[in-house]
Amino acid sequence: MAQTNLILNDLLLRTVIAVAVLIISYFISRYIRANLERALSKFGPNFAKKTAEVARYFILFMGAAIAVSVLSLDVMAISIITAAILVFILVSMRDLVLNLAAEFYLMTRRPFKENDWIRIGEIEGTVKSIRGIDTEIITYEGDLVIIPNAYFLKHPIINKSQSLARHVELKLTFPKMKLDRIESAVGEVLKEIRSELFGEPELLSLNERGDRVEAFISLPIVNVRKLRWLAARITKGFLTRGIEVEVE
Amino acid sequence: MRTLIIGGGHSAYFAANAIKEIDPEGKLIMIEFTTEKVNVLSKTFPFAEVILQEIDGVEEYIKNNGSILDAVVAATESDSLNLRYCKVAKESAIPLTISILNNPLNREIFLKEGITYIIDPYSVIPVELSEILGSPMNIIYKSPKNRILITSIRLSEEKLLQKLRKELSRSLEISAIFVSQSGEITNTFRDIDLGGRVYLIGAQEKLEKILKIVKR
Repeated sequence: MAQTNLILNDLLLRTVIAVAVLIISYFISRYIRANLERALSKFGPNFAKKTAEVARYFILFMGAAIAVSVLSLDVMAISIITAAILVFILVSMRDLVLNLAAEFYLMTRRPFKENDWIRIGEIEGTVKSIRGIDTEIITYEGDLVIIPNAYFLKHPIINKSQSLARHVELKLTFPKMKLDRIESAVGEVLKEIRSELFGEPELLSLNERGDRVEAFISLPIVNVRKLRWLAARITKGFLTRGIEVEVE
Repeated sequence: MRTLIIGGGHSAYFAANAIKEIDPEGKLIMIEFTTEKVNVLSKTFPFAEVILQEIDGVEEYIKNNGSILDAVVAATESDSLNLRYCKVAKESAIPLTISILNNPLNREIFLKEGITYIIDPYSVIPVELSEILGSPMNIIYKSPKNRILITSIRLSEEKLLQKLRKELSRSLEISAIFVSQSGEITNTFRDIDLGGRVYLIGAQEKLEKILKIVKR
């Protein structure tokens, strides 16, 4: 009887301590979350909230682990199970973890911001939005490319946004044409599209190659999505002058 | 460059004139909500294409022209309308979305919505007052695009002068011009005496550090 009472008292004491640990860890986690959220708010509210939440759950998890160990359950078994779960999470959510690490990198290092003109790997365009897991980029062609943030950890980022305008080169091919007829027409067409550009368009070169004429022009443009529309306007401009052109 | 200005009030007037000066060959489109103002704008800005549009129709216009517009300047007399239009412009991936504030207290709301270029016409009031009244320090200009700051500091103590001398000799990212009490302008520390003013231009982080020293 005395032995049973001793065991019961011991279990009761352990339960009380375990509950106390859980309560304390709950309050610590709340305190940490609030302070961390405040401290990280300069990196953006969403990022701060998410990181603070992760820290909170980590503390709660630690509290639960300590409470379990206080109750004297088999700590070794619990440790193995916990380690296995963690390994499973890390392996199965590898990309997600990488993306979160990349988000942390993007928020703290800030290699680019929204509306910046960047090049990453083979992709070049304007940053439309930076989100938790991915970043949206609008390319020259107007395509919306969604890049997982982990990609930014593996490739160098070139930020070209210091200049407002981007100089885009276009190749114009005029089949079955002579140089003298094209020269003035190019000048006129470039003048027509000047109001859509941020600066003077440039005729880089104009050469006769066999029965065709090739011209390279440089256009300073702000909105990269305009390029397709500009190419159409250039084509139309030459067609109204009776000149056929291919724009690349 | 194809720029859209929304609004026909004072802000829009100054914005249109500035854009014409910056990009004289560019295409300027102005949207207004009343016939009377559209008529006035057409006469005042003959170089611009002035469009009469209903308040709720502007968003549709921005969406439809999002791929060819280079800049949108929201300059109506209502900040809530400016915010609405800026949000649509941002969603349409227009590279430059600029809002001109009517109430400076609304700046935070615009920032929260991710509108990065916010022009506050009232921000010049404390700057000018500080210069006129010779305040100990004054942030004259903060670039919205680059991390550049222009400040002025009154040289009131020898200790401050020494600290500034030390900071400036260490930093290559700051340039200084001194104005003595008698109005002489120089760029060397040698000729400066107390009571004058120093104008600093340079990297924001470095200058903020100097301002902290001055505050102390």
